[in-house]
Amino acid sequence: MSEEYHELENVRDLADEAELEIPRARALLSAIRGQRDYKVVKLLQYAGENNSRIEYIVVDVETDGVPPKNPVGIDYLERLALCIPSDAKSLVNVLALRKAFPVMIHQNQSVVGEPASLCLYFEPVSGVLRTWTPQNFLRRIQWWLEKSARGELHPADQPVENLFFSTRYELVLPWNFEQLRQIAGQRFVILRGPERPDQGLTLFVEATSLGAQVKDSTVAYVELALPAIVHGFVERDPPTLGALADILLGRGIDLFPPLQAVLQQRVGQDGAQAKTDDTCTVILLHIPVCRGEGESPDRTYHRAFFIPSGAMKLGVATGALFEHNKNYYSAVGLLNQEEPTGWRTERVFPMEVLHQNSTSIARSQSGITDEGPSGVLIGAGSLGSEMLNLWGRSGWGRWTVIDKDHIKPHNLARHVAFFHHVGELKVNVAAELHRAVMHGASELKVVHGDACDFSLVAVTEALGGAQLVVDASTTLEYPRMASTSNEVGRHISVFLTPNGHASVLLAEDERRKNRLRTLEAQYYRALIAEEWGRTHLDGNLSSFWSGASCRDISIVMPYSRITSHASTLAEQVQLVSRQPLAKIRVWQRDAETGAVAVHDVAVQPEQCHTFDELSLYIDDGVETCLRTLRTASLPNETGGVLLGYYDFNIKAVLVVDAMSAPPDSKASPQAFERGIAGLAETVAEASRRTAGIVGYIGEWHSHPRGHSASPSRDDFIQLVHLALGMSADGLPAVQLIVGENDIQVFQGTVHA
Amino acid sequence: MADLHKIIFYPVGNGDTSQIVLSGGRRLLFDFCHRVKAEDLDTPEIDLTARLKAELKAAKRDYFDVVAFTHADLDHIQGSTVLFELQSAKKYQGEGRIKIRELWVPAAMLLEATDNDHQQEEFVLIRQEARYRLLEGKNILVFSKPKMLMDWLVPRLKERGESASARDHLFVDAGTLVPGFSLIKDGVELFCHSPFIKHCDDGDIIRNRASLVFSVRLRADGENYDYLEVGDATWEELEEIVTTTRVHKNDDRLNWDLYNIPHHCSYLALSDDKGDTETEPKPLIRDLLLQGKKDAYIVSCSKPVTNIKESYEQLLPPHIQARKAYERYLKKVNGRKFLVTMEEPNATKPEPITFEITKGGVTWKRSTSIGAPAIVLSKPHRAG
Repeated sequence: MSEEYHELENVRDLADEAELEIPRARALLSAIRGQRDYKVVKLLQYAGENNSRIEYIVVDVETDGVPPKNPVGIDYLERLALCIPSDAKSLVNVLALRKAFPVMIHQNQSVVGEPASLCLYFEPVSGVLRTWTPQNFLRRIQWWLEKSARGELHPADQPVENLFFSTRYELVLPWNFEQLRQIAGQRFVILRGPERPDQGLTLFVEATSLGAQVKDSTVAYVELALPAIVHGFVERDPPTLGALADILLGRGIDLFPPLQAVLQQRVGQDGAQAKTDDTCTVILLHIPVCRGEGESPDRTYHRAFFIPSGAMKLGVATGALFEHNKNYYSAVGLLNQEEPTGWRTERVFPMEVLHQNSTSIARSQSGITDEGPSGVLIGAGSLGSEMLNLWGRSGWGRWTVIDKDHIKPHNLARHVAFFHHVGELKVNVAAELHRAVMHGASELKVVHGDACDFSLVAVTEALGGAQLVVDASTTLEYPRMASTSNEVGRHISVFLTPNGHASVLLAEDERRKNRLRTLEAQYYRALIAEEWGRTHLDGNLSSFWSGASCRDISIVMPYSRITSHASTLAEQVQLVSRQPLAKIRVWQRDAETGAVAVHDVAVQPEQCHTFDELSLYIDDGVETCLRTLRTASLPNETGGVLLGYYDFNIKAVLVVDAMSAPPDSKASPQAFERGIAGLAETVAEASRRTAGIVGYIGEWHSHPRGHSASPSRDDFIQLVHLALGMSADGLPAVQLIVGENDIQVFQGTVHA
Repeated sequence: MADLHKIIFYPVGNGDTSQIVLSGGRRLLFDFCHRVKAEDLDTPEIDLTARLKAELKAAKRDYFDVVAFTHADLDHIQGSTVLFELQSAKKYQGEGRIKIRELWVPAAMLLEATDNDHQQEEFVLIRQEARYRLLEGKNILVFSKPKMLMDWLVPRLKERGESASARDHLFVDAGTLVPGFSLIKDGVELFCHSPFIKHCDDGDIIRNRASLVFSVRLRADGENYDYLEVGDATWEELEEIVTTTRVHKNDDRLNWDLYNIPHHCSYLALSDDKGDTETEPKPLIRDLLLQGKKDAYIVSCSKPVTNIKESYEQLLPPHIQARKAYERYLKKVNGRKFLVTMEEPNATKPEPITFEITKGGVTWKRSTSIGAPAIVLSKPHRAG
């Protein structure tokens, strides 16, 4: 069986290799001679303008990796033309000369009836040339043939759709184009973006409401639905409108009548003038694709063609319109018209059809596998707005954001907002920016108000309906408030430390057994106990401002620190929210090197002791500590200071830690008298490390072997003294006793 | 998962070792030729023992499903008693030895007499192993069932209190399919072409003339491909195979997509006349060569077959005249390449030739040891 081959035109045969002028051609020929899989068939040369040359080495190549019965139709022996341009900055082009060579993706666009050009490389030319040698080029050809024959050249999850081509024209479809098309009577218009310096253009398909007037700025276009094709079918693009019409006719579709109708619609009854921006026409094809012959289509793909002629000019060329005194009129009903032929030679260019990201595509591009929760974000400040930006672009979660502030000029140094947003509500800015990215593929809901104000219906509705609430507020108000409510979902708090070098994530467990309230207390205990806690909250302003301020970021901090932590936190919230357990995690960034250390704090269950005025919360971590200290001191009693804090808003006192007995304490099996050595410094340090939040709240002591925690007479006396002492601060005193098997807690308050 | 069978030919000089690795993981080794000198990195021959052990280790196995010795010539069994575990003798068992789940031998291998000087030679050990397994009645298939062998076997069975036909299921006749493998279950069937009974009943056993010849049919996702695996065979025997196969209307068992040619590319597998520049195959051999399929390959398990003047005078195989004949017929059937085990990817440090059999057919998986990777794999010349 003899094969038929394409003949190259405008070339002359070279008698022998001495006639090769281009050094790269000679090097390639020499490499071919050293390769048993390649045989030279002939040498050709094309002489272009300005002394430019293309030299051709026509070879037969054998590729052993090509399966004999490959469905693609690549042969073991293929005849190729290696086209070496004299311009050393251009790649060697490879043409497949066998006439029956299959049309495939990974071919450069070429005209029907001409040899296919193989698309050997995925990188830009300069990147390829950096390491190009004749030897590896020859192997690359075989690699391409083998991979193509085995169908392994494109990632399996990408549909085989179109040939590789470079085009200046792009058409962007809406994310939900297929659904929109199903809506009866739905209309689309094509809007044009600005022309680029290389005359390139991006056009947008937009849905428009029924009966809306076609805007003047829209581009004439024709939509056609084609019969279904089988997956894997590819074909070359036609060079002219005539060729396109022929291809469509071959598929049973007549392009001409709908094209004429569209062009005539644009001039209406009274004719129209040519407009300066009426310079192009678009043809959009819908092509259903099915997996096998006779199966029903499982998706639709789109091809588009760009005709660089405006509707009026094309109208005349197609005979749809006629011109009179620079006005264009419909030619419908015109008699004795000649068969128009001018349109057939109109150039058409393939357009790259692009899709606006849907949330699911955004997720797959981001490598995110779950849709994310329906969530509420508290706080659209610096950190919150940045995390929303990250989640929004990656299509993760369906969010409602709650915030009461508006943008002020100084916010711009550390916020996603722009100057024109100054004065606008932060929630509205977040929603606008989200829309600007997703263009309707997802919406950000907003609630303007104080998240702590549970009397607001919008707030409680939003919180009540959320699977996850992320607290990115900068005060302790919201997380402590939310801990008191049983009507809300799982909460995660995230914040930066005042100097921006560290960030913290406190995550409740799925069932909210461990709430933010206790996670906060346990975080402070770690700050007091661990080395990294020494400088963690440095830079806080507690000495100037009243009230807790460990989450207030100071005035001086670059946005980079926020975004750096926001990126970590945005990912970590995704990760942690997929896990059921509670978590306390801290990232500490080294200011000098940028290195980040991560610290996990084990979460302990919380217990509540209810009193008339303030409920006391203590976790098992404190209890374990107390029991360890008691056991270590047996048979003597022992004791020490209790650290913690009060919050009258939520009517609570939180026990953070229990100190061991100072060295000058006096202990016996019957009694314990707490000393004072170093104690003031220890308490002061605990307070310093926690930005002034944690302080002295009372005393604890143990009872000896075989005794319960029931208070003795002495214990009551101590409590009275403690209460009297604390009353100077207007606070109740806490006394805690550790017995053999139990723990008892007492509060002493002085009532005036 | 798509079916993927492999056939691997090892560069062992003028010797034979090939392996079929089925898509399901079962492994069939045909012949074994490990030369001690090959353990030296400087020799072109592969360190076969080390190589096979490494392959099995990678596959987490310590056995071959089948080891077939096509005949007892040294270049087909050399070193086997060092690598394999012999069930017949404790001395050849234990740590590190590779187990043979089923041993395949031609009947002649159980019969061949040896003089006392050669009692320790490996084929005696292999013969003992085969006899042991046959008497034990398991882990062996014997190809052809000559009277001489039955004369030896039947009295011993009687001693064991077993009937004369007690081992019949362990014999395979030429012209039948080897039991234990099926196209449907394993994606493979082996059609036995040789040995014929008469080879042994002549009394004078010539090893090559009683060697195993199979047509191996591999199925990958519904497509069948044929591999002609010939131990050493002369043109006379091959002609007999062609004749017999035709008589029984099994012509399709002579097709080949891959042909492992006999006896290291000896002209004697084509004709009795070597020819000056090219051997002219005997008529039936020519017919056999023409049954090659489009895109078929030929493999010669031999030293390089060079086309230089001296080669034409060479007495021992490989013979360049034979290679030229094979290549001519390969071209006629639109085949692909004639490959020599000791030539790929180069004669200095050849690597196993691997074919992959998939739905699309037989493809040669080329070595990637070109350029820098080849240097990395070999010892560079001593530096001063």
